[in-house]
Amino acid sequence: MSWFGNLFKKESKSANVAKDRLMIAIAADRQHTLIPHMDEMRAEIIRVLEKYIQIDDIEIKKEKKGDVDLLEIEVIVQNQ
Amino acid sequence: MGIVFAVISGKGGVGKTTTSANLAIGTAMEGKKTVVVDFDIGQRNLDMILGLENRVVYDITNVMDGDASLNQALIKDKKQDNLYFLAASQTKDKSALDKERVKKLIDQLKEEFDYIFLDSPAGIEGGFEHTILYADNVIVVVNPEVSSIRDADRVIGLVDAKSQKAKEGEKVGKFLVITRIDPELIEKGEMISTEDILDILSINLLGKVPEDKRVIDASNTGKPVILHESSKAGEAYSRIAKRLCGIDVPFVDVETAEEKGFIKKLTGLFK
Repeated sequence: MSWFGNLFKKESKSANVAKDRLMIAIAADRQHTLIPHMDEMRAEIIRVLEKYIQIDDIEIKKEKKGDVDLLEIEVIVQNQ
Repeated sequence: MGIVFAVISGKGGVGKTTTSANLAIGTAMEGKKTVVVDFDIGQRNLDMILGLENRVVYDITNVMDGDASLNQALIKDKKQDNLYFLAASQTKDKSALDKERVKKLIDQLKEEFDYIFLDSPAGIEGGFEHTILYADNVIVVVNPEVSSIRDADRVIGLVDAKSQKAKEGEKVGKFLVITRIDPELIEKGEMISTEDILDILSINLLGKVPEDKRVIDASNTGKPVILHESSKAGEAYSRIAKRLCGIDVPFVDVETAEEKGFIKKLTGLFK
């Protein structure tokens, strides 16, 4: 960029740029962070399911759809 | 019963060990019987920072394995009467990651000490979990820099998930210490300010430590900055230690560059 361009670039201070970028990155990170005590919950769900069906694995995902927080639990059933 | 503080960070190299060492010395100076434990198993460092590397005979793994008693492994500081240190082992050992043994050790320390600082390894690997598992409070160390702040947010999110206290429905105290604040960069708008960091992380501020070249000198000689006279970082750590001891110490402006601060004061007179 030319010296002229740099002159204008100074307008937005890099600390402000950092803050804006962080806000967005962290908001995205937090969406992927699952609920507390995830491991325990997962293990317990598996124990309950195994009483009734044979399962391979479960997958838990947290999503945000509009204003609603969704917890998606996918159960992979064992092939007979 | 002692209070357990886990000193954690997302990213390495932000000043966790320096913070642990200085705060432990600071609370000991305030009269609290203090122990600081190096939990960075396999990567012993705190002994050098404290200048106690020549006195390590037994380490944390020896104690957890039952090869040495806690009293045999605890190293009493030369200068501070109330300060003790427990070294990390230089080899990674399975037993060091055994929850039950960690609990037993921490329970023992709580019986004997007022304040227990656990210097955690960086990131979210094994040892990190063990320091927050039985902690009453966590001290998150962060630099005013994007990757450090982002990683700090991740570990803050993990604290409640991994803490025994949170599982029992109690609240784990979470406090932020910002280190390596460069006033000149902040004034130029090239470093994220304290307010912005607190805005992003939404956690209570415990202290602000300015960048100070003496921290290097301190680690060279094994004499932490809090023991240096007129060290800006040392003074900051001493204020934080007092806060931890329940003394109401107001936050000091460490963000204003010195010369400019003087001129500002002058111009302020004419306003």
